[in-house]
Amino acid sequence: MAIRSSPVVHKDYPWGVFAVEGGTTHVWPVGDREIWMECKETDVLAAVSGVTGSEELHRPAPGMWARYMLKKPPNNIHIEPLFPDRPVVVRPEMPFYLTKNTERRIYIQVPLWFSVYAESAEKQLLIQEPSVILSNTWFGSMFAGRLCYWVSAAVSSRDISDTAEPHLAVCSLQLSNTSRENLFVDSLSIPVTNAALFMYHDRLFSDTISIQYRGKNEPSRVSFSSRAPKQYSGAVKVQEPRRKEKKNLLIKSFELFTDMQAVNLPGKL
Amino acid sequence: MEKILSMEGLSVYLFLRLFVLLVLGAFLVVWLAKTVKNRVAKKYSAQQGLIISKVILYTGFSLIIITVLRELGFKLSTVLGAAGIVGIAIGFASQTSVSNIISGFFLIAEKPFEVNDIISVGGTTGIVLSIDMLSVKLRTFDNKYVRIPNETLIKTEVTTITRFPVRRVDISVGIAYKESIARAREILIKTARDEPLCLNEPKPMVLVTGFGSSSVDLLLLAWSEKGDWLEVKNRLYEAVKVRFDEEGIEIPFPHVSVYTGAATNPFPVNVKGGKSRQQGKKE
Repeated sequence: MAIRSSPVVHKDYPWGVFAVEGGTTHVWPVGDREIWMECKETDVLAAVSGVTGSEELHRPAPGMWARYMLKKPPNNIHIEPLFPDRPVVVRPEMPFYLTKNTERRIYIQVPLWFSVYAESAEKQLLIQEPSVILSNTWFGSMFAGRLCYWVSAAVSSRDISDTAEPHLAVCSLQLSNTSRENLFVDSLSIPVTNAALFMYHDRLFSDTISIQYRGKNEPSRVSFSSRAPKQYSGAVKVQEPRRKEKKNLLIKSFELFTDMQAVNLPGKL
Repeated sequence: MEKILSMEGLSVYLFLRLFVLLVLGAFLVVWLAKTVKNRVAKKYSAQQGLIISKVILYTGFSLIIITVLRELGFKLSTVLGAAGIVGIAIGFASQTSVSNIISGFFLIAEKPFEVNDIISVGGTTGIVLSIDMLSVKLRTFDNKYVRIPNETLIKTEVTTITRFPVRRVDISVGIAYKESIARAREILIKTARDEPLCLNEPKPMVLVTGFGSSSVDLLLLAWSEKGDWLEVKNRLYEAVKVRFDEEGIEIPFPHVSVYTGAATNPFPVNVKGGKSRQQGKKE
């Protein structure tokens, strides 16, 4: 069902609680996408339009709208950020070496997902989608590994949260190399599904994720601080980790693909 | 009279005992098998759940039958002896079934595939529904139920399509001889990179597979998660056509060039009832 009224566009900042009136169309541009919503008494019509990349609004096609039937007419719409549903693999624009017995903090921007809730009798989840469609990648061997999202981002050694757009969260990573060899970092798997999300002056960032490299044949030790980094005292936790079960992980974090030589031969060879 | 009544009472009592044994026993065995199946499937795999539930079912029902026979006054040794003789007779008559049962044990032990895997046997491809004592049951993608004897699976080549987590998608495409292979390669790689379901790692690559009768044959090798394979293949074929059309790269259809005498001179064409002309020459 296409909505034809002139929409109210929430351009400045997508996250928060927004009052909605019946019969009005609201649009929230988040990252590369737009959330479209209209409340009609106890029904909410919602859609997410595709990649925008321009200033113009992209009204979703009629087939993209979904109708949600609620108990009572909604008063507010909540739009909340959350980390992606899979780990992300980051390939730094410039690969680097972390020499042995060295510890370094780096910052990486990760595109967030959004959850849309309608607040009527209770808070109802309507939509949960990514703000930027990331491509898939595989992290591990041909036999075992994990499906991740691919993020090509600048790795900075200074806090970049002041430059981040609203749909990006800054992950602060504490890398340490306790092995006996230098570590070449050309890609890095970050288990953001286990990270919490914090807000400080409208900027979003993760708790500190510590990744300890212990040698070629050892899995990395990954831990999460569960609280905001020191420089953001007074930050508010806006999202719990998607996966709460593990605070400390032992996973491969630096080795992207080990058997590259064998993977691309045609099957008949 | 009293004797008759007591006999009747005994019969009713026996009947009740047998009824309770059968109904309650069957109910308990089925419940236990189902519960264990669900728990094992959740914790380990669907196949292990299926095997354990079948072991419980067969053992449970065998115990019930033996107990019922004993209650009815049959001597277990006599029954087993008779069963042994009958078993030998049946054994000779059912060598294929026995072979299937033994093959089934090998399949379970070797685990070349599990329940819910997609396998290809001979010309049949489908999802494994169950691995039973005599046969494996498949559901094909056009929703047919196929039963393959275990012996066949042991003897023939079986491909487990979903064994590994990632799969390669091969997209074969031909380009006209006049086109630049390097440019076509660049476009193909970018097309794969732009497809979100296509994996960035392992990296996509392009091979020149040969000089065909009408085209230079290229093969795009991209990777996807096993569940996305068909979707990625379909999307990539569409995207390659769209991108080649946008970039003006010709995908030629099979054609034959006919020359008279020399390779460079065009074939003269005469149109009857109209003007006569030679292609390539100014009129």
